[in-house]
Parts: sequence; structure tokens; C-alpha cells
Amino acid sequence: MPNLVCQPKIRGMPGLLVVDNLAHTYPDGTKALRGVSLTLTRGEIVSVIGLSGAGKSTLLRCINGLVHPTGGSVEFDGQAVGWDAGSLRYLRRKIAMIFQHFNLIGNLSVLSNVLMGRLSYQSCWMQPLYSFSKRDREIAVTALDRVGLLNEWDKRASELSGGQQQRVGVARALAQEPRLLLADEPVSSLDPLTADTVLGHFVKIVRQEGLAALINLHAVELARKYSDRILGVREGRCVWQGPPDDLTTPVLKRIYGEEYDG
Amino acid sequence: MTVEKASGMALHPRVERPYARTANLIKWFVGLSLVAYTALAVVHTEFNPLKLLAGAASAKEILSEIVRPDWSILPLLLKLMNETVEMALIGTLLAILISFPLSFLAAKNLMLGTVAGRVVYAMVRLIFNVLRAFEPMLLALLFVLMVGIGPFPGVLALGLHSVGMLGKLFSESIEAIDPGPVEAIQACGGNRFQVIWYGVLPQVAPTFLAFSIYRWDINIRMSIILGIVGAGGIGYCLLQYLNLLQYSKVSTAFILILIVVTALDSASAWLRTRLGQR
Repeated sequence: MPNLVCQPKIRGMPGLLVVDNLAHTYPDGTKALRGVSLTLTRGEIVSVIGLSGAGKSTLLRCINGLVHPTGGSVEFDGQAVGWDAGSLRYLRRKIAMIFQHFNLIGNLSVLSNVLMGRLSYQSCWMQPLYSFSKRDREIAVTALDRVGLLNEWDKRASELSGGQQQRVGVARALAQEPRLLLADEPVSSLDPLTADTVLGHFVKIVRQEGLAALINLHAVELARKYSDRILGVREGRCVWQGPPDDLTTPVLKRIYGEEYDG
Repeated sequence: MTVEKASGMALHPRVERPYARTANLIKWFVGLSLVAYTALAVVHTEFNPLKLLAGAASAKEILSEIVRPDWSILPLLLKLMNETVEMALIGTLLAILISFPLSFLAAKNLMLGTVAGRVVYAMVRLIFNVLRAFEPMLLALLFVLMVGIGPFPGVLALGLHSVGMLGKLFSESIEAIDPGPVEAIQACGGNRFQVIWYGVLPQVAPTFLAFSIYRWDINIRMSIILGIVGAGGIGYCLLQYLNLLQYSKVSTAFILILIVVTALDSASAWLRTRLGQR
């Protein structure tokens, strides 16, 4: 299978994120990523599609160091990413993440969950006290307002519906004031209608704020509808990339295998 | 099932049959040994219902006093009961203070990442196990010898034993958390302390509180018993009344203990249910 180097649509623009030949082998020998290269420019929304276990999740987690790559390199905003704790924390401040299962802290209030996005800005002595600066609280309130959940600020996160919980996840990511958003199957645990609404809302915010986003998606339809560019990942390799309009059935068969019937 | 079993036997007659025969022999041997041991135990413990009936007749005098509790000592008993509850409170708080930080070091999911972590994990686990193995009664005896008669040795005994149990329960509830929020806190750029304080703690806080209340509840009952070896509270007083054959006073103490323990027991059960429903 050829391993494509996925270039951005707009050539000549500096890459916000440059991933070069990224590889990851799990301790049990499973090769989840076999060398993926991609470039993301500012303001670009890119979807990653592929079968479960193709390496989509590992790819995202290698970019912000939740999983340490065993090969290759990542460059963010012109700087090579080091894998020590200090550089990772700085990197994660600028790269926010949204999760399939929202990963909110159910026992805490909605606003507290959004404030988690400000953790990397929290001063040392405030850390044990669950206390945040006025500026941090203002940013969190603005982020919560942005996803339309300001009225629910004092509810416990676990009391919200799935769609609302993911919007809190988006608000938490926005509170970080990131440059890039990584979304790992952000709407896979929602019903199709809510999924479309939540993703649409998310993409709208990303565009308005001029951020870049890398989104893993299960639903090909959503990827077509909302992204500037699509990457097809299969068996740890990037096998296709192109604009949504070029995503034809033969291409999908290349990504998902011959059994694909779309 | 039976068909499979039969065909299995037919396929491996030499392997299966001798094994089954040995297993049967072992079963019979264990069964018969248990019966024999029970019979011996009945003899050794001098188990004899007739003796109890004979005893009841001579206990008539005791009973007649027990049905007439002496309420004049109630103020004193209330003061001592309060001391018992306070002993349990301070013992439990001591245990919480020690076991709370240690329990994070005894949680597999937080510690097994590095070699140093594994060593610390094994050591803290060992401490918890050893402390749990010492009965509070034995510890109290030891502390009474060290610091003298009074409530303080009781506090130390309850505290130390409770560290073992609370530490084990705390660390097990840390091991049962959802790893998702922890990953989210890491992805937000949280440092190691923030990951524990914001990712782990909110998930385990209600459980920690419920276990602590439960432990206080157990410690109240235990501290009554500890008084008997000289570690203060109402138990110490009860022992003295028994020794002086003042059964009407023993009766008052019994009634008070029954009421207080039942009341606190239901209060703690109610609180814990509230925490569980959160």
C-alpha cells in the first residue's frame, strides 16, 4: 500500500501542524501507526476516516503526547515537539482535545468542568484550592456561553444529556484558547440527529475563531459535509487524501476494504 | 453436555478416569475430616445445653437486678459514652489523615508505570496489610502498656488499625475510577498534581466520605470493647461494674450502649445512602 504524504490544500501557507512519518508500536507488538505524515494549515478542518483499529485514535493521541510515538516527529507552530513533561504541557495548552465519551468529571459542575481547560494557566498556590483567577473564570463563562449552555452552569455534568455533555467538552477545549483542536470520534456516542447538530455547531465555532481542527469520524457523511480535506487511514497508514468531493465509492473501498457498500 | 462428557471419556480413557478417581478420594477425605474435627470441637468446647439451663437458675439473682436499671448513674455514663464516641472520632480522623495520602501510593493504576512506583506501591500495600492484621484489641493492650490507662491508647489503636482498612478501601476505589477524565485533564495540560487533584479526587470523594463514616461507625462499637482492656470510655466503666457485681448499673450501661449504637448506626447508614445516590 502506498504511503501518501498528505499536503495541505493551500500550498505555500506555513503548516500549523507538521507530522512526519509518525509511528507507534504498542508494548504488545501491535503496530498501530506505520509512518503517517500530514500537514495542517491555520483555519483548516481535516477529517480522518477509516475502520476501527486503523490507527485514527493513536494518530491523534501521538500528536498531543497522550501516547508517546515510537518513531517520527511532530512540529507545531514551527517548533519541533519534545516529549518531556514540560514541553508536552506547553503543547497541550495550545492543542485542545475532545473525546468520544466526553470525559467530563460527572461529580463536578458544568462550569468547573469548563474551568479544567484553564488548568495549565492556574497559579501554583491556587491548585490545591480548586480556585481560579477572575480572568480564567471569565474565559470559562464566555466559552460556556459560546456553546449555549450558560444557563446550566451550576448543574452537575452527569445530569446533562449526551449532546449537552459534548458541548461542555467543546467549551472546555475552547477555554484553553487553543490553536488546534483534536476531536476523537466526537459524536460517535450520540444519536445521528444530535451528532449532526453538535458537529455542525463545533465546526461553526472553529471557523468563526479561525482555529484548525483534526477530527476522527466514523460517519463518512459527516466527514463529507463538514471538512475541507479528508484523510483515509488504513492499517496505520494514510492511504488517501483529498477534498470531500473526490471521496468516491472506489476511494472508500480503498479505505474501508472491498466489502464497503456505500 | 452429557454427550460431550461421555465422548471425552471415550477419547481419553487413561487420562480422565484415574484423575476422577483421585478427585473423589480427596473429596471423601476432606469431608470425613471436617466431620471428625467438628465432633472433636464439640467435646473440647464442652458444649452442653443442660449446663446453660442449670446456670439460668443460679443467674436468677443477676436477672432480678438487671431488670431494675440504676438511672442515677446516667449522667456519668453519658459523659463516658461521649468519651467513647470522641475516641472513635479522633481515631478515625487520625486514620483518614494517614491513609488518604498513602492510598494514592497504593493504587495500581497510578503507580505501576515506573519501577520506583512499583516498589513504593508494594511497600505501602504491605503496610496496609500488616496494620489490618493487628486486631485493635491487641494494639490497645500494647498502647495501654506504653502510654497508660485512658482514652489515648484507644485512639491510637483504633487509628492504626483503621489506617489499614481505610487505606485498602481508598486505594481500591482509586483503582476503579474511569480513566477518561484523567486523560482529559492530561490533555488540558494539567501537571501530575492537577491530574490527581482534578481528575481522580472528584471521582472518589463521595466513596471516600462514605467509607470514612462507615469506619467511624465501626470504631464507635469497637471503642466500647477497647475500654475493657483499659483504653477509656464507657467500656472501662462497664468492666468495673461487672467486677463489683453491680448488675443494675451494668444494665443501665447496656441500655445506653444499645440506644446510642443503634441510633448512630442508622444515622451512618442514612448518610451513606445519600452519598451513594449522588
